Amino acid sequence: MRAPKLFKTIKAGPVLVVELLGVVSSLAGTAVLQELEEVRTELREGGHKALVIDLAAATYFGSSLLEAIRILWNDVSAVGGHIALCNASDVGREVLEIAKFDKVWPLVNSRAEALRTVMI
Amino acid sequence: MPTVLIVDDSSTDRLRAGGLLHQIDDLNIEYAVDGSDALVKIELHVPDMVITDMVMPELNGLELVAVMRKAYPIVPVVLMTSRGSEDIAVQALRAGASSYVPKRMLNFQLADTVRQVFAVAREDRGRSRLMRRIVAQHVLFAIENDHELIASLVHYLQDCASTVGVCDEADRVRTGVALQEAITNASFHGNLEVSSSLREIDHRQYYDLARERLTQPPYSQRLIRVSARFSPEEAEFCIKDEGPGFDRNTLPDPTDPANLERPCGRGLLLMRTFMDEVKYNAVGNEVTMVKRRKSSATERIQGIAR
Repeated sequence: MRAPKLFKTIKAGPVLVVELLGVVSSLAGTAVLQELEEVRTELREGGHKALVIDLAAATYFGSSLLEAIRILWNDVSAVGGHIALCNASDVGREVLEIAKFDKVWPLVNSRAEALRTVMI
Repeated sequence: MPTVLIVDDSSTDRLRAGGLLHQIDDLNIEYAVDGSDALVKIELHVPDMVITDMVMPELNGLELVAVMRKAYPIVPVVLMTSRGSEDIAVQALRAGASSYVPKRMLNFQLADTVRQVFAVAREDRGRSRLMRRIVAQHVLFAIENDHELIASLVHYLQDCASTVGVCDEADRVRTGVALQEAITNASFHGNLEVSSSLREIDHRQYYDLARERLTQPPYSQRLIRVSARFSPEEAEFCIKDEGPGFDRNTLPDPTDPANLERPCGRGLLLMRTFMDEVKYNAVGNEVTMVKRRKSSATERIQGIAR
């Protein structure tokens, strides 16, 4: 399997952590979509009901990343699971607030806090 | 005389690095015992360069780089890395550190690296001074529906807005988000005529259709035309596609809780929020966005609030 460029996954017990490795400016590239599909497969096949998205390396993002998170959120919600986001930059937090996703996706300051949030 | 601040919790490494820099003429060397101590010293006297260890008890090298990028963006930071700190050093370089020297190579590389980083910083400062004297700049692009070209164009336009002084770092990022959204809309919804409603069914179908149309006339022959005018007061971006246009009033309100799960309208919402002015032509295939420099009064108020 080739090394991920944008979405690195880490298993933390029952939780799947998706670490952003950089800025996702568009989902138009085949490789980006392919990586997103690989995360979805891992989520499904691993039976994970809890998902943490670590945004530390995404210094900024727009609707493309929101769309990718929305897709993963739909997948995890479909099996009654939970999602939490952590380590958003100031502008990233602003984008989430403008799109009102901060109302539905818990947004916390650290990965440890996000893991606690989805484990409840 | 330029000042270099060396930050390391190990007194041996700190003094070793300082000793190696004595071979550079006319250099004032200061020391800090960790990241927190460095910030106190930087507040008292902003150095011309910071050289920092990565692993420190109070504030580590990565955290120090993040603070420096935000508060002192023109001061270059050089990292001293040791075995085991490579991952954190990569993150720090991504976060904006200028260079790094492995500690085991300090004797051979530190002085040369410092000289090189100073030379680049001098050049950057000179360019930055010159760019702030631009009275007006106008650029025109005609690009294909290529997402890599779009990303490069966004970076270029962000840099232009930033170098003429319209945007500070945070506004530079916001401007980039708005431009990315506007140009992506022009490509997907304008030139390739792919509707967001398809994305509601399956995002893969949406991108598959877009990919198909990249090679299919008339979609493949359409270009995105971007005109950007910069002055020290404002940046105006006009983005035009060659599609039939769209009626933005048909878009659902993405902030309505009922529409949160729908993938439509968020790009436009970000554009409206991050730009000072957004207007469409009657057909809906040309958007003009204006970003104005914050007035000095606004900057003062925000400075007080910070």
